[in-house]
Amino acid sequence: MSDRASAKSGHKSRHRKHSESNKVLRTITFVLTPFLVFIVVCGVFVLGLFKPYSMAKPYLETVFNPDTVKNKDDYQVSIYHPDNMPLRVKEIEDESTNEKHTIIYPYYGDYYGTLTISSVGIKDTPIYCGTSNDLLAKGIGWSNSSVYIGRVGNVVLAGHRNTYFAMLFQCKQGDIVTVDTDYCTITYIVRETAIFNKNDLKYVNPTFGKEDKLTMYTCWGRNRLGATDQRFAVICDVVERKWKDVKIPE
Amino acid sequence: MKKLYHFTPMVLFSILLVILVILFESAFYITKVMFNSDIYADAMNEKEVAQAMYDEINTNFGYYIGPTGIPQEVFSSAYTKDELYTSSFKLLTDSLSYMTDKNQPKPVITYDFSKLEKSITDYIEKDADERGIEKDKEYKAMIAATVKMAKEQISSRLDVMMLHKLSTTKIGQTMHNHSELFSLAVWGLLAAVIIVVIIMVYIDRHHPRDLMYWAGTVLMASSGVILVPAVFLKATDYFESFFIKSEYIYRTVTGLFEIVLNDIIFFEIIMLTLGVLLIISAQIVHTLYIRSLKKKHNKKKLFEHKADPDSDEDYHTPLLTEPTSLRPAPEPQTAPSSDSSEDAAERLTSSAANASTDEISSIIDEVLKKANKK
Repeated sequence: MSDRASAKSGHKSRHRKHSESNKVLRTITFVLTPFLVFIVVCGVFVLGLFKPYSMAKPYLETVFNPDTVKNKDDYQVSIYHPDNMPLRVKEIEDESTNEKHTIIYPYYGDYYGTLTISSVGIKDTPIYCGTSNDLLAKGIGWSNSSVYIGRVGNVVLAGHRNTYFAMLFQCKQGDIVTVDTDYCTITYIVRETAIFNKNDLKYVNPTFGKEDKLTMYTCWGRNRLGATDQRFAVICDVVERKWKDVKIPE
Repeated sequence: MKKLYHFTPMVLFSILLVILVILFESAFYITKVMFNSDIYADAMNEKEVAQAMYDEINTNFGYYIGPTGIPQEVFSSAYTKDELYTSSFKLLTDSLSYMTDKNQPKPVITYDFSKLEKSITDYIEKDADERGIEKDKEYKAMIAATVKMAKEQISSRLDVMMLHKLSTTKIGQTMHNHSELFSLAVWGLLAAVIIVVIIMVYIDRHHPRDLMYWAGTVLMASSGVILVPAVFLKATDYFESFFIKSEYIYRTVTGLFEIVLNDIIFFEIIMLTLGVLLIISAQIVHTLYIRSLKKKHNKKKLFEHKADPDSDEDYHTPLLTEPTSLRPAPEPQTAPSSDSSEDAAERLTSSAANASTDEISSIIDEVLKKANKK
């Protein structure tokens, strides 16, 4: 009898143990199954979208750039780039003299230098990097598709005929034009004036390393109101190029 | 906790169902909401896009005093905020219709520029009269160029969501040519969802209370997969970093994304809550069911055993050991009398190891009936 009783109690304790472990397993299964399904589906989507995402990533980073959010509320000198962009300093060789000099390349929207044509009353007029409407409202625009000021080629400056280039029409052959930047001062002499259609790119072609000149242009239609497709250009040759010692701020 | 029957197939079908539900939700949202102009109207109104567009056009015409000599008022007096809004919204609706309906014509800008033309012409004419400028070929060309430039300035700003631009691209053309595929995709995904649901119901047909749990799991997982990235995008203001800083486009695009995100988050939170409630309900219903069984058994005083209400097993285990009247015969019975409660108990004990709660409870009911009769 006692053997039977002990066998029965042993069976009961085994059963209880088994039942307890079953309960724990059931609880874990019951609670974790939704999360398991969630994780597996996430994995499926991550794997499925990995390739399309890596293909779209450059576009997404261009269209949605969180850095711009960071900089959006900061004070910025130029609306086109954050203030903390590094200076673009480069050692170059002057193609005309083979001397080495330092140039600070501007970013779009930066103040670039000044223009002086004393003979027509243009004096220390600010030059900005770029020719967008807001820049041309502040001064003269350096066309960023032309060569940098100081480099050999066609430097192109644009301005409005009713504001900063109102006096450009008075320029004549032999007038002296001075362009001053942080790294050089260049003196030009007016060679000729021309009227051209805005679609004629002959006058604004950069001519890298070939024709060393300055082209300033504005809309034609002096004393008249309205827009025009005609442009008035003043073309100048280089007389002198003076390089400055560039002090790079820490 | 409740035991989950047919666990492996149900988990696998749940995963499949979650994927299908997500795809269906996405396809449904795109076709019914994103392809409907209402959401764009909401974005434009909420973010005052018409005002931003009007201000930007004004600012831009302000710059034209430099190249044209014409003050901004000459241009701005010829259009209103409402006219710009109406025209831009019509262009947006037409572009959307074109891309989503094979029979719609190509969208075109419909804006009445006559007031603008008149305003510019009058101003230049008046100036020419005052200053005695000859109205020659150049004069006429300058008026035409100014009107053209002004028209371009306005036209280029009417495409607030750039959908008109998109409709002219290859993607837009493809969407137009295969527009019927969108609704087909929605119906196809819906059919797939229904088929998987039917399969799951069939697999678990003997455990209807389990279905509540699996429905909750599917809703919870599908909403979670969408909700997590949506909340991340919302929390990080991801869409605020849209690169176009043109105020009216920026407002429309970010406004649209904001509405879409809010919609998604709202809907998915409801789905998630529903899912969690279903899972909890499954357990509550199970517990109540077990308690009701226990009460029934206690009433009949058939069993003295203290059953654990959390365990299904506790209801068939005592039957194997406790009541002597229901204890199985040592040898298998060859021809049991069909009217005896012992017979029912034997059937119960022989199948108890593999039977479900529902089966056990039905057998218990049968046993009780037979005992009462006796």
